[in-house]
Amino acid sequence: MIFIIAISIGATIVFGVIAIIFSMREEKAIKKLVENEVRQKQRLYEITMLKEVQDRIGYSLDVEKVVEVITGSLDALLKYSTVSALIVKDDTLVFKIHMKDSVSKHYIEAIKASMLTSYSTLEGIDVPQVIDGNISGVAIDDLSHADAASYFHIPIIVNDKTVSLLNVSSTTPELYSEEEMTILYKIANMASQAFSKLEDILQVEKGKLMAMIGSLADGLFMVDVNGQLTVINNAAKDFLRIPKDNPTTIDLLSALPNSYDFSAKIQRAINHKRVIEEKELKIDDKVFQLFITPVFDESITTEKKVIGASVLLHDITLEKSVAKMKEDFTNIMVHELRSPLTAIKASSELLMAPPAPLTDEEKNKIIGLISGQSRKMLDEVSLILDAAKLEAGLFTVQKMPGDLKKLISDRVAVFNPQAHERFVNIVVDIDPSIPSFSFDPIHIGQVINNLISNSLKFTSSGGTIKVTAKPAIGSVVVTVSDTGAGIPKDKQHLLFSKFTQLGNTEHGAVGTGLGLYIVKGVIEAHGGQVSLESEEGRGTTITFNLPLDAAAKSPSAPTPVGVSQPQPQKMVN
Amino acid sequence: MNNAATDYQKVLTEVLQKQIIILGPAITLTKARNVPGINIDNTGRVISLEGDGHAISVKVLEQFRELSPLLVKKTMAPLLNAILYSQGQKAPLPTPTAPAPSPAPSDNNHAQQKHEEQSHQTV
Repeated sequence: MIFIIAISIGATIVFGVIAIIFSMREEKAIKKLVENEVRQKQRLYEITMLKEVQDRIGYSLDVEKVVEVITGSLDALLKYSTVSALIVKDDTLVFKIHMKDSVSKHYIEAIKASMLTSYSTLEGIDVPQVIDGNISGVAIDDLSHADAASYFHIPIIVNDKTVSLLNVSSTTPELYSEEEMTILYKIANMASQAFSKLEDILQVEKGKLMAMIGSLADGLFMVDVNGQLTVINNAAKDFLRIPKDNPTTIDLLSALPNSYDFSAKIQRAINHKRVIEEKELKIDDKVFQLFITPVFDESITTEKKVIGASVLLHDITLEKSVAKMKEDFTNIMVHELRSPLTAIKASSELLMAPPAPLTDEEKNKIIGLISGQSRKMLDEVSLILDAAKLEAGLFTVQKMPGDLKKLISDRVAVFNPQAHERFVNIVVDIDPSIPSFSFDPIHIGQVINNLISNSLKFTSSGGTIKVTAKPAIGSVVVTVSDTGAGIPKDKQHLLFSKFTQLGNTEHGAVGTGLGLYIVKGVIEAHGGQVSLESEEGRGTTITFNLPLDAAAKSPSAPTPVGVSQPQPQKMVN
Repeated sequence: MNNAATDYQKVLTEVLQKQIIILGPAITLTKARNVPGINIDNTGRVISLEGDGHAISVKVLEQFRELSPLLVKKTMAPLLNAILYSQGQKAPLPTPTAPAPSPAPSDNNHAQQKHEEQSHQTV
């Protein structure tokens, strides 16, 4: 009996021990399973979050969205009382907090202070001011005395600048495991790197865009929806005379005309999402065509919305001045052609139906007048035709051997009576050694006429016009100078342009404005050059040279047949 | 303890106390204590280094680099310099600056003492 009892006890003990061993093994296995499950959950959370953050970053540098993703899904990873974020938005810090457990205001302020100290240490700056954003989650409990017993900060750094700082906290001490915290740092680190790469790409693209905008001849600037200046190119700064490298919105608005309500136009372009065009806007002494175009954010992650407006300034000053010159020219031409026609018409009518019989002398005088006016008209028309040919590149010269000395003397002789009437001296200094050479006598005659005629127009009584011709190496240099009014420095570059009329002449005479344009064309067609020296109030000298042909350059070049050797001459009227 | 070891101890203290402010004590102390041979109190002060100071510093740096390379680049320059210097680079071993302030929002001594005594995770 005792034996049976002993065996029973022994068996019970053995089974008990076996049961305990199995139970311990089962417990271990369960614990291992739970740990595996936690690890799997953490791994799953990590993968999901990494993908989610990557998707959110996409092609946008919206840090706030990524912060929302991380904080919004924190429940799946760990327990917490509050999750907070400091976000840098347009150089301002915004603080947001979400409460899962009721905590006091003091708790929130302590978290905020700790985050600000962290941020200031990271950035090496004084503790900055912060704007309070949302407080979400459960209600604040000011009766709670709990402190943040566990917490950690997670910075999001983009290219060496902290763009956000997250904080996870709990009232429970020593709550967070290394694995849990590391997962969040890993996610934040991935976001930091993705943002940094994206910002690098955007910087490169922005650099390219800025280089392109900078190289534009048109002025261009951009403002955001609040009317703040974001981009301006050098042409726009030049047009608006803004000397600063980085002008502000105030600098921009001050440079625009007060009469033009620029801000209202920008707002209209943004609100109505359409281009506003100003056909003519006068700024200082320039005229611009202006286009205000709304700029849309067309990134794939956001719906199409207006983010500002670009303003293009196209300088039309030259076009406007050319249009005005053409208009003036038309008026001048009408006047220039109408005057001789009126004289011809009146003279013809007088000849056909004289109020009283005309003497032969009177008839000859009227016929002479008709002839003179017809020639004048023909000259004007020839000028226009020559100008048209020059413009089209069809102008040609008919060179033939000739004596430039004689041509100049003849032209001066034509102007002598007119100069005499105005008490202006014409001095001629022609070097007799100038050989005969090939040039277009009609057009060169026209050039000399034009230069002397211009000098005569601008020289007052008692003044002097000097015409010289001298040989140079391979060419002949001719100058026509006067002691007239001179030409202002800022107008000199316009002198050889088409339709240019530089102020009133001494006697109120006007011309087509084509004269010097054709002078330049004729001389250049001969292979020569024209230059100008002028000083206001002291006079003007126009110099041109005509290349000698090969025969003329030779010292033994024969004198052309029929051209007599001229004598040195100096004529004073 | 030789001078080099003392220098490493000072630089590590400076860096860890700064990390406590930036990241909080929980993660900073956990990561630093993963490195064998470093004894740290709850304020981040390195009490002693057992073994090669250079090797310990490299390991500490590695712990934080795994956490965030950008953070190491931005905030752990003194330690990086110390390591580079000892590897024969020109950068001098930096003199530690004034001790970093306590991360605790309360700035009185009592709170600091309480903070050390209670838990390294209290704000």
